[in-house]
Amino acid sequence: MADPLHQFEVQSLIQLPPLAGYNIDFTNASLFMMIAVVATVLLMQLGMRGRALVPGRWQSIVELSYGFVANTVKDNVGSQGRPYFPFIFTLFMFILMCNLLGMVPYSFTVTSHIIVTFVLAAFIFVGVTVVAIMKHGLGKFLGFFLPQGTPWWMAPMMYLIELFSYLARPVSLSVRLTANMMAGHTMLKVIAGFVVALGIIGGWAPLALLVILTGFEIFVAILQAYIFTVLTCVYLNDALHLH
Amino acid sequence: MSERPSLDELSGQIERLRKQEAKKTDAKAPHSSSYAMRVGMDLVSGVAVGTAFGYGVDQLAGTLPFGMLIGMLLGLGAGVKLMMETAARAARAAEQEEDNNG
Repeated sequence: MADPLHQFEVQSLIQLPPLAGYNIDFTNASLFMMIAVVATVLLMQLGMRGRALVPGRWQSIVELSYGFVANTVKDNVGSQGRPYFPFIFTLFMFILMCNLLGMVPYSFTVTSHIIVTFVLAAFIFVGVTVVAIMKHGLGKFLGFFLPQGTPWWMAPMMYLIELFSYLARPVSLSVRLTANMMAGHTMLKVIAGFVVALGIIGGWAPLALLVILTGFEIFVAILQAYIFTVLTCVYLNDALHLH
Repeated sequence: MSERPSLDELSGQIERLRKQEAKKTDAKAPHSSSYAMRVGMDLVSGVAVGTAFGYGVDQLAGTLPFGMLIGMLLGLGAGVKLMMETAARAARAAEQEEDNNG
C-alpha cells in the first residue's frame, strides 16, 4: 500500500546551484505555486474578457469572488479597508487556487506545508504591524498591549500576556490552514488505500465514503481560504482601530 | 411627475423580493461549525508561543526551567484571551445573522 504521506514529499524538478548556501531548486511546490498564480491570472483575464452586462459562467465566477471578498473586507474592516482590498483579494485567490489545485489527483498541495502558510502569515503579521505603527505611532502601538485600568503590579504580566496573544496570531493562522489541508489529504489517501486493500468485493464501502469525503475536502478547501481571509481582515481592523 | 413614485415603488419591490430571495437561499452560516476548531487552535498557539518565548529567554539567561514554566503559564493566559476573543466574535456573528434574518 502506498505511503499516505508520500504525497507531501517535496521533489526537485530542476536542479539549481545553491544561492548563498541555500537550496533554491525548482521543486514541485514551486511548480504548483506557479500553476496557481497562472491559473488565477488566466481565470481573471479570460473571465472578464467579454465584459458582458449579463455575465456568463466564467464572468460570474470572477464577479462572485470579487463581490465575496469585497463584502468580507467591508464587513470586517469597513470603508477604511478599501486600500487593502487588492492585497486581500490576491491572498484569497492564491490560497483558494492552491487548495483547490491540491484536490486534483496527482497534484501537490502547496498549502499543506507549514512553511508556505507560515510565510504568508508572517507577511500579514509584519504588514499589519507596520500599518498599525504608521497609523498610530510607535508609542500608541506599544501601549496597545497594556489594557486600560491595569493595576501597576499586574502590568508586566498583562503586558506579556497581550504580547504573546499578539505573537500567537501568525502561528494559529498558519497552523490552522496547514493542519486542515494535511489532515484531509492524508485521510483521503488512507481511505483510498482501503479501497485497494479490500478489493473488488469489499472496496465499494470505502469508495462511497471517499466520494463523500472528496466533496467535503473541496468544502474545507474553500472554507479555509475564507477563514484565512477573514482573520487577515480582523487583524487589519485591529491595526487600523487600536483600542 | 408620475414617473418618480413608480420608480420608487419599483425599487421598493426589488428590495422586498431580494430580501425574500436572500432568506430562501441563505443557508446557515457556513463557518459556524469551524469555530470550535478555531478556539482550540488559539489556545494551543498561545501556549506554544509563550513556551517558546520563555525557552528563548532561558537560553540567553541560563535559567533553564523557570523562564519556560513562567512563559508557559503566561502563554496559557494569552491562549485563553485569544479563545475568548474568538468566542465573542462568533457570538457577534451569530447575532448579526439573526438580525439579518429577522
